[in-house]
Amino acid sequence: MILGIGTIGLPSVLARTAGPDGIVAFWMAVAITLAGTILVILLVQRFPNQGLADYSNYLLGSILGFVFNLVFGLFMLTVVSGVTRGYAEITKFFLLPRTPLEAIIISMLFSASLLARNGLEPIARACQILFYVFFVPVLVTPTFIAIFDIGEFLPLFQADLATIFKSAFHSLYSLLGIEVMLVIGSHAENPKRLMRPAVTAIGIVAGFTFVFIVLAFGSLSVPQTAKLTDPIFEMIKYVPLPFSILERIDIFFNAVWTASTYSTIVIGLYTASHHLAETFKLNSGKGFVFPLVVAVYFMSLLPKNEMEVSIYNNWLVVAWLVLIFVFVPLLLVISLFRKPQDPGGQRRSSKQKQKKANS
Amino acid sequence: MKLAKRIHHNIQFFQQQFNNSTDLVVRQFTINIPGIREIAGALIFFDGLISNQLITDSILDPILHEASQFQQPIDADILTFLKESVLTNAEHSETNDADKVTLAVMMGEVALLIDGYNTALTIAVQGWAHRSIQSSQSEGVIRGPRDSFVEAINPNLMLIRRRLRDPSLVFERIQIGNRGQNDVVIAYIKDIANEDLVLEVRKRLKKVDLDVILDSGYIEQLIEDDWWSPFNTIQDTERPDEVVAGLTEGRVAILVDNSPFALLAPTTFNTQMMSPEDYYVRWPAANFVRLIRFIASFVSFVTPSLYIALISFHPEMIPTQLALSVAASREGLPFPSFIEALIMELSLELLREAGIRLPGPIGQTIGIVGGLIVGEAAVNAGIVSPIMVIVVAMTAIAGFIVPTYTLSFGLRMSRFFLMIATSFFGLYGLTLGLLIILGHLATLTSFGVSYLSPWAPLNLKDLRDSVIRFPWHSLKQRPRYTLADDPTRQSQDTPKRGQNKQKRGKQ
Repeated sequence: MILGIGTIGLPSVLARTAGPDGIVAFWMAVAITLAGTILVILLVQRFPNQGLADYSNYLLGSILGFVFNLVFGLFMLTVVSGVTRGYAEITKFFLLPRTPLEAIIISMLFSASLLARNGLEPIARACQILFYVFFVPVLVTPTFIAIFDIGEFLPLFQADLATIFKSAFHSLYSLLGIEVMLVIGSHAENPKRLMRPAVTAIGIVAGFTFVFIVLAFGSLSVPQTAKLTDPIFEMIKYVPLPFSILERIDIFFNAVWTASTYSTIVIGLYTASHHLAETFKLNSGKGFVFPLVVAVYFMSLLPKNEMEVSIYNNWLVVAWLVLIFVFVPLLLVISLFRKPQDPGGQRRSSKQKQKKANS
Repeated sequence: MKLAKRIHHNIQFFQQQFNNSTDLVVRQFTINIPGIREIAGALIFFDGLISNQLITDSILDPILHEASQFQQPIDADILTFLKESVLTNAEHSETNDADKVTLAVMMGEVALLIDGYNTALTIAVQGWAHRSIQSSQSEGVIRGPRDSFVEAINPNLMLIRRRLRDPSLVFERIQIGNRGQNDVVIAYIKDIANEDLVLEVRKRLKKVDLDVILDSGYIEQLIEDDWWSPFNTIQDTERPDEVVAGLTEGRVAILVDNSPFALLAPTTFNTQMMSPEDYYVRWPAANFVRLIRFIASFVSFVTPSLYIALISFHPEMIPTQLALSVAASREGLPFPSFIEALIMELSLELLREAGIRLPGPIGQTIGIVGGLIVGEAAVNAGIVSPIMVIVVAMTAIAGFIVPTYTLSFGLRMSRFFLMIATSFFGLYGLTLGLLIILGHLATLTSFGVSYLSPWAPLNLKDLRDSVIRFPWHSLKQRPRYTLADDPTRQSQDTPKRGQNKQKRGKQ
């Protein structure tokens, strides 16, 4: 599960672009993501035991496939750098105003790279533990009842469709992540059963994000949410915890969010390194991780300010839409004409033949 | 190399083999059996490794006195006669391999050589002095057995066998150490332990190539999955009940001669947070203590770092009244909070280490002097703040709650790492530090088993014995992570809730 970095600022974006109908826009974005998820999983299922680098080469030809794989690798790096920069900006603003942005970026990338080098299983285990941690903010949601007003985001369906679409486009940044399945889907024990967990994962992310949007709208009011850059943190500040020994608990929420960002970056780095290793026919992507960290560091410093970060992220969403709704369907269509190979099956059959010969 | 037929050649050989070591005893005698000519014999052994009483009672007396009174003619050769009719009290074996005899003598056996025979009898009469069985020093309990392992391996095996009268309990003895030839025993229950696990343990032990194994710690470090980690991936314990519990869970135990600590593999972070007492007291009490243990361990782990973060980076998080009081107490302190915490934490480690090295009563005195007097003096001298003393005291007390000594090492070292990370980036650094440690724990495995099991990968059934322990009636299955061949440890017929009460009611 990749909980998007954009979750923190999403209520504000939705309130600004669509008002109370931001909630409708958000669910529209969820629907788009789910459609993308289905396409991705269908493609992965057609090529069990094969990574994107393998089957794109097969479907597009070696030259086009190679170019496509390089572009996909670059896309993954862009996602990681966008997430890292976005995270660093908010952390600097809220927690470490005197710390250079570069120091936050380097520390986060270095920490994430230590785990990303160790392969998929440790990443999965760490993310599973973090998944339990993500429920901690949900535990404080009942405390919002005192300041929550459902009337703040009603009535719905007041904005026109174009506005809702525009708002949904901005929401997509919080829901990116399913593209990693193109690469790591090949590790699934049973690809035929991949659809349900993938859809569930999107559902959980959507659920989490929806809770925060509703809480922000209902607690802070829609106009107030629109004015704030990171309304979730502002909202947490007002949590009335009885007998609290600490004055502000928003910083602990920041810790949970840091954990979420860390998992996103780890998965992104692993996906990029693993994919590049497959592209260059190497056994492991471990050696790629540190050089990629250097690349991500410089890429994350490309936007000059927060405004440029926002533009950078919008382009990321455009690239994601092109990947998921142009390239993935294209590969799917080509795969209908070119019978998929099954290297796993070939391996199995050759093993069986060998076994027979031995016996 | 084979033994010679002439006894003086063999004696000469062993004297050379052991470089005429002063503790080597060669006791020569003449066997006088009626109807047979007098024949020369010799016992070769190391002084101090054998029991003199046993040698007299089981070997010399029977050979020199009982054999001479034997009236009937002897059909067999003299060695067979001695073996079958005279030396009936002692466990012995016959060999003509000089290396095997050498090894047996080094292991505390006695070699009986007889002139004219190129074979020797090695007789087990070991009897060296060893510590008696005492209560555990590092894993004490209030409720539960008190005995713990000793240095000698045989009493340790007895402590296990006495608890587990199962014919499937297997002890495999091997010798490890090029020069030490130390006894190492692999213990497992044949129809429970996963065969692949036993094979893997055997394979890794065979690869150990050291001069001598002085403690099980040598073996632990040489066969563990991740030798560079501060966290141990093989559990050590000096409690026989803990080993027996591990064996019945499908784990494999390794016992090493001269070490009172047995090893258990595989292990997880979760299993090392369990105390044997958790299973001896009733489950509500066990859960109460377990929850406190997990919370206290976390408190001890992060409190110094949290102090640094709140004082140096995020004072706005502290309630105003407390913040004012903290600021007043820190007024005039020469060091930043990180240095202050570092001084105190290092002092704590110093006291702990000094307390272990010093004899018992002095160790306690050092604790009191260090903790109270030096602590107060440091506060009065304006080196540290009173709140820092509270933080260190909390850390120390909470830190002792971790039941496994080796795991607490890993946690203590990681605490310093967290403090350094926090000194750079405040709470962000603390979070990042915790994530790095989590990432590291996620990469650890113990004989292929995830160190974070049963939380990751999630195993709902094993969660019944993790932070919370379910009642014994619910723990019908062995832990899944051991991949035990026989997963059931309680039959389904065990009474369900209220069933015992109903039976009593009917009576």
